[in-house]
Amino acid sequence: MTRGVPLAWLNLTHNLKQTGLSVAGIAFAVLLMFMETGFRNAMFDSQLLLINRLDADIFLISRAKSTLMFQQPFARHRLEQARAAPDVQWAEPIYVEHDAALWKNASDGSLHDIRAVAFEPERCVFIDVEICRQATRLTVLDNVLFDRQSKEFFGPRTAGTLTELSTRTVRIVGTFALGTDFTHDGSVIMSADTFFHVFPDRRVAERSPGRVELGAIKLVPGGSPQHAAARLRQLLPPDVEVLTKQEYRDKENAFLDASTPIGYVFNLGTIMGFFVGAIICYQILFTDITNQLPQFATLRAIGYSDRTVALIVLQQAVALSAISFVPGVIASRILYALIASLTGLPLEMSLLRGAWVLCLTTSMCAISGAIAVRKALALAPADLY
Amino acid sequence: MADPQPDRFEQTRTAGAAGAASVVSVKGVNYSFGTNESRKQTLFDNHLDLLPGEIAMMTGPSGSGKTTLLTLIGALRAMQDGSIIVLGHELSDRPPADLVAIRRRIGFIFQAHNLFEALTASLNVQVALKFSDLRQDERERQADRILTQLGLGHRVQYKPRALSGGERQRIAIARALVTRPKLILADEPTAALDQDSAREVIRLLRALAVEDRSSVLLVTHDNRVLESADRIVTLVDGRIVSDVVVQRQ
Repeated sequence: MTRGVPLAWLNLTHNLKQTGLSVAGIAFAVLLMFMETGFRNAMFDSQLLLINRLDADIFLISRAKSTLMFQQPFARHRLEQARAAPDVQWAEPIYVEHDAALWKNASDGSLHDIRAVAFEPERCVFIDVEICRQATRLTVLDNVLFDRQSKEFFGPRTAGTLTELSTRTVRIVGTFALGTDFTHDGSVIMSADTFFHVFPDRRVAERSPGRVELGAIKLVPGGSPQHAAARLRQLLPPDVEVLTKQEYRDKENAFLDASTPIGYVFNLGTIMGFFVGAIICYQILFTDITNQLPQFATLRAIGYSDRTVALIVLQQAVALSAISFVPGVIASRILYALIASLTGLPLEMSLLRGAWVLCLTTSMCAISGAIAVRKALALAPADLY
Repeated sequence: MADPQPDRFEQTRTAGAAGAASVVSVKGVNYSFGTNESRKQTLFDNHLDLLPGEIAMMTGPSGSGKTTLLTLIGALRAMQDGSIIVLGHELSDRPPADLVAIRRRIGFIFQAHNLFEALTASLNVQVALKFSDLRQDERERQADRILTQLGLGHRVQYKPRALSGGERQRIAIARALVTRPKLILADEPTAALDQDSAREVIRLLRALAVEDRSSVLLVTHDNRVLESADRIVTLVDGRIVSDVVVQRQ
């Protein structure tokens, strides 16, 4: 700010119509970046929905398992070995079927791929009180809980609905809220007994030799996941991988980031938004400065250094980014809510993610401002005479 | 340009007579634009001294080099040949940062007002007080005081768009004078003003010259203000051809 005279701010705001247009332009870029980062984060977050809902501190997975999406079971008795480790309160198997699970719409009879998740209902492995409260109902064979955030095309989901899961008749005895991801349009939870009843092939493959998709380990209160995980790695053979909950999240994210183009595409979209915003911001500043070239030259003539003039332009750019960010956030939140309600994707704007886009917005305008500075210094003060 | 009224002036050569006490001392200044074949010399071996409290008006036909000399004295151009000492500082071979610092001690009045449309009259004037040590309320008071002196006391909160051309020019003049500089360089400051405003500007410059011993070097073709000059310097084809002290009868 010019000492005593808030020149940058007044330059930016004195023409409300022009300011409104400028803010709309930058806010549009903010919206673009929020949408792209939102979709990217939703992709990662949605893949972690199940892991995040499990009440476990440590997970056991097959060493060969790259991601939760791909089935790769490990020997069940590894969980029994894990139970013997210090600080382990319980270790429970989780069964997941992606490929063979077909849900029949009870209304129209259409069939749809669904994710089937199973656990031993005697020990609720979920964080959700809603699931645990209904877990006893799952002890009855062929009873299931249905994710009410699943896509509409799965049909009725009220308690009491009878339908088919992979040609076996099942009864919905309750619902829970999980949400969809990029590979699953819906989920259903059941007991291990129901799971093996519905998917008899899995009984042959898993129960007889004792194989399990995912192991959930809960530590005693106060137990350190890092220390416990380190001990389990020493205790268990290398055919299983021991991961804390955060390590498992990181592993899933790393897989999606490295092995799918989705992260790359959305990152590219964010970069595009950044450049669109930078161009809009530069155009706004360039026009404003061009209209005031003699004024900037006058400042330099009366003793303002080039650095001071540059600072005024940069302040104007940063102020523009700051006031544009607010409508950009509001518009993004509205769109997030709309898209989340339409798709079930977990589009969330956390403080950290908001700060990241604010950082991008500020950088975008600051870079534009730095380029526009050249224009502000283009007219030599001597040419004013 | 019409000649000043001969019965009111007595012409005397004074160039180079002022010595070390000069606010501006120009010695052997040459200046050229362009390079190689396109090089064109516009100033030739000029000498000029401006004393404290003196109002000197520079006249001459268009293209005679008045503005070039004014911008050299104002440290707005880099020197090429000769010497110019302004407010005790030699301008030759000075780094740009030094020239910026020297310019802060000079009041500049341009032909175009060059006001920021976003700022009120008062704020446009306060822009020149950035490098002063005054408190904010003192800056405001000082800006408003000089605007009042220039007949704009009722316009301090107006933005340039709401003001006439003459009023805008008076704001630009207030901006140059608000720091009470020891040297004021002006290019046709009264060209856009009516008779009364032009007289008020000259009266203010005169008051500054008397009270603060400020010197004024003013390029003008305005006969209305020429009669207020202490000296009249005439440039023709890049050379000062006359430098006369005006003694009032």
